[in-house]
Amino acid sequence: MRVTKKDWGSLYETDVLILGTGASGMGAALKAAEKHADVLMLGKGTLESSGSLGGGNDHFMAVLDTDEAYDDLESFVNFYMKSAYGYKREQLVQWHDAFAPCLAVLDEVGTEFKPKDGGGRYRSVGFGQPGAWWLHIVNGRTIKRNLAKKIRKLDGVCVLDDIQITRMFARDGKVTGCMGFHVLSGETVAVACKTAVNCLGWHAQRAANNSTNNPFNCWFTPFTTGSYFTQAYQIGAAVINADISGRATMLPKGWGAPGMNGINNMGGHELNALGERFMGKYDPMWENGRRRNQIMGTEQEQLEGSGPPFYMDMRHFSPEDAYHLQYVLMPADKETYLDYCAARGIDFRTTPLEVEIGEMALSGMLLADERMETTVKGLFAGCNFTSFSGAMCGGYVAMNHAADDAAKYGMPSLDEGEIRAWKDKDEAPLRNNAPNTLTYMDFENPIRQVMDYYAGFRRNMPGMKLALEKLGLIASHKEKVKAKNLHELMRLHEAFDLLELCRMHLDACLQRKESGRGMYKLADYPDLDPSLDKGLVVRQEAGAPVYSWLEKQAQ
Amino acid sequence: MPPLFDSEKCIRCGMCVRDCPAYILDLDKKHDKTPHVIEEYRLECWHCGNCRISCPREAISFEFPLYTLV
Repeated sequence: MRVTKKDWGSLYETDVLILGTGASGMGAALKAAEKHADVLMLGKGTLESSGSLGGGNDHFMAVLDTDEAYDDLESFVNFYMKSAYGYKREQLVQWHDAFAPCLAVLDEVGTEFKPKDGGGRYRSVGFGQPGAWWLHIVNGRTIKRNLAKKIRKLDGVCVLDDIQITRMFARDGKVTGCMGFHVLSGETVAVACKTAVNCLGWHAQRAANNSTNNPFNCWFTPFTTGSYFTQAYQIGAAVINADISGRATMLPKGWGAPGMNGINNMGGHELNALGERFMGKYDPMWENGRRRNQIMGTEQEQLEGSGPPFYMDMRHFSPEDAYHLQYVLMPADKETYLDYCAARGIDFRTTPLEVEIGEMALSGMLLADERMETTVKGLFAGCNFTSFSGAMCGGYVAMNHAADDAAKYGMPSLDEGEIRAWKDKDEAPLRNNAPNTLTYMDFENPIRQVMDYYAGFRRNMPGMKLALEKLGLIASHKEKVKAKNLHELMRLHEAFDLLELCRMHLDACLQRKESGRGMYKLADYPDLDPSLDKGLVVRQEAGAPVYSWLEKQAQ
Repeated sequence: MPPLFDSEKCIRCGMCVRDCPAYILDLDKKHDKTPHVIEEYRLECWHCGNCRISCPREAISFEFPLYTLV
């Protein structure tokens, strides 16, 4: 890695660039060190606390190839090939093969897993999967910083904290680097690279509100707003599932915390206001089935007036299980969980936990080949797999190929004139002294206003078309935004990514004329269309989206 | 929801400010370098607790705001 001071900021040159320092970026860094690659990883926040893993995690999904039912590669591959579009068998095999080395690192840095009676690690079933693949993590709130200690000492891996990445660069269909700014000093940073692993985060928040109307009070990290998709899309990467990968979960009432996987897979019962356990109407696996069914089922109950309130009832648990869930798993997922419980007087042993349907998060995947290379040469997808396991293993797998391919390319030169022009544009909100400017929230709040109103769990085609027009109106106000400082400039760039992701999502949804695969139901197309059992791919050509359908790969 | 600081326990090391992923904390540079929440950005707290985990003196606590309790 080489750094050169320029009149516009600092230019870094690295063989392999890791965009993002969350769980996926960490997985990529670990693999880079194994391969003795020259790597620069950069992202927002510090390595110790960034990304969703910075908030903690209570589960790591892993098939361990034991004699237990469905604990084998084929069951794992079959589940994901059936449940999502865009995966290739070879990708899933590599995810599977990354379980063991990633678990070894987690063990090495002191991650504690709940032991199983008689030896081994305790695991439970979740998300409608056939096997008990979810290991329970006891000290999840410190995983990120324990991993960070190791990664900061790795040879060949340099970490640049506090960088808001504003765009990627490509030339002739191949990635060449990225640029952004230091959110504390304001310095412009540009990176030239031979290859890159995109680890900017699979789960974009702030597209919608929960009942609290605070977009930062959300389930996954609120500081990831879609750059994984939008910035890759801008340089030519194809995106798949932008239409149907919206996600939501049940939240503790009033608080954007994760943890529902632990509650569901340990046997929590969801009750409506009438005290009825209703999920059997919506999923054969009740609460522990597909999360989409839990959200849509709860939504249906709400429409019918059977709630709110809704509750997760754990009173039938053994005292040991109730304790493990409330005092071990939940705080592992979010450090302040017990403060919330104390403030609301929550005790899982005696009182059902009031819950609400959370905000919808947007997601998708970058279309990638067997080696996780996107449709942009040299750009590898690090966040295509789900959950903490998928993030860490996904970065690890993508880096394996990115490090190999770095040897195929020379170091590209970035166009400094272009960097200067982008810097000028990126920093323009800091200089905007015009009257009637928009603050960052004046600009961002209307995005959610549109999405909440027209693009909720129940929607229709005309509404989504109108929503797109209104998002276009918001986009036309970009020149009016003002940032008083670097904090607000950072939030504005997050909002720009969010806006483009919402537009991508809605435009993609207009192509899929059916209900039942995404986290929403269309009034004008209420039924599942068996002929649409395929993934929707979008890529940009001449500034406009071009759509195609991807058939499921035969296994 | 943003953290509360016990100025008697706090040793002004700044680790809470450093590890806040929301960038909503700062040290009181004019006076005694006590950390504080930047009032204007307090609603951006993700209540991840990283400030508390980073604190070497257990000087940080949380009080959940009213809107999370209703």
